[in-house]
Amino acid sequence: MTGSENTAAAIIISVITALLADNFVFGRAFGVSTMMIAARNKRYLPGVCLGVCYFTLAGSAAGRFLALNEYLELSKPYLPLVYAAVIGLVYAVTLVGAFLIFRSRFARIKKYVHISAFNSAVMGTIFLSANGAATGGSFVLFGLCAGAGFTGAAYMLSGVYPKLCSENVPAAFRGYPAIMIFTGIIAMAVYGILGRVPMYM
Amino acid sequence: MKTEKKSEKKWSFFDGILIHNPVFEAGMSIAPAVIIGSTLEGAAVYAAFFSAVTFISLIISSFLPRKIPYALRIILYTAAAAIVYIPVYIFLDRVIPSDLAKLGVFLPMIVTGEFVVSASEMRFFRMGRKRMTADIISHVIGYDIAIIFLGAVRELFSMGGINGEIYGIKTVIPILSAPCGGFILIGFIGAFIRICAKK
Repeated sequence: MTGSENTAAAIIISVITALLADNFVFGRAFGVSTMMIAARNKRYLPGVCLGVCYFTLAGSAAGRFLALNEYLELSKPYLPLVYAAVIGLVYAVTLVGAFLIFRSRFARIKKYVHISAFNSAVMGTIFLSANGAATGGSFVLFGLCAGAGFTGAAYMLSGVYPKLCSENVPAAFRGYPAIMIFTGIIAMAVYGILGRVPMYM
Repeated sequence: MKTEKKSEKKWSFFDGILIHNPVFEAGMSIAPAVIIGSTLEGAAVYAAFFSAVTFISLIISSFLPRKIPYALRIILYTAAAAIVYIPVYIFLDRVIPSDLAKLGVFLPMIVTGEFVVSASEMRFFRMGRKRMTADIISHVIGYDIAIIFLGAVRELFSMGGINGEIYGIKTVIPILSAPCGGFILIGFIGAFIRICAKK
């Protein structure tokens, strides 16, 4: 195998691991409510997933930048302010970019941007990337894996969403409680694969 | 006018605590409830921090004029929460430094949580000021009760005791402290609340 083939194989394995074992939603409970919004309507699903992937990638890159920049060494109370500023900046730039590039479809695109930008999956990615992504390309891979984990979970839930909300389910469990139990069962399977709770702190 | 009166009658302070509980019914800020809500101590510290930051930042954000474009409003809401976070963190870090350090990633997440970003726009800021304040308090109390209850139950039944004190529970379920246990318990409690609400 050549070097590039090795890298490609490593990326594929990492993404599969993110989908199955170290999944952001099932293992760390990040972005659960955004996942429910995405899974509710199959028409919105690709847009929201793409949006979350974009923001986790951008968030991971920002986290890497914050970790590398010694001048920005922050004490803990100020972390959220910087993280919120980073997300806000990416969000504003994305909206302006979408307006300039896709002017005719901007009204539709901005919905996805609103849903995808401010959620725990993106915030968690920035935090974990700033604290954990050590080598050059690792932050790209980390952002990609976070987005892939969310996408996998959202697609999985979208497959059963209509059934979990159907009249066949007892009224007390219909909808949200059934979704939580479903997510818990999948999380249990993920826990079984990994054999431990992922390090999230 | 009639529908306005109807909705006014329907509102109750206990909505946020029971039938619209943020964790068990509305699906808001689930990550901390699932992960932090596995021990009573962690849940109690998080509840104190969450209550202070969320309540103060929502009250401050409510003064922002609705004329500001939505995209900018959301950024300002998170900025307000992040600014409120600073003194709350400094204060609690002096009082309970070791407990706060354990909460890691979940503390900064409060500033982009559903309370600040979505529930503010979809629910709280659509009400009059008095009712909004009462509704925010109700939801914050509902969240605190939920996470503390989850923490106590999960710690008790996964470890057989709370905070190192063993209470003689012989059959423990260790997986209850894992995220999957949190999800499943939230689902069952949510269903139980619905059954009780119907009766």
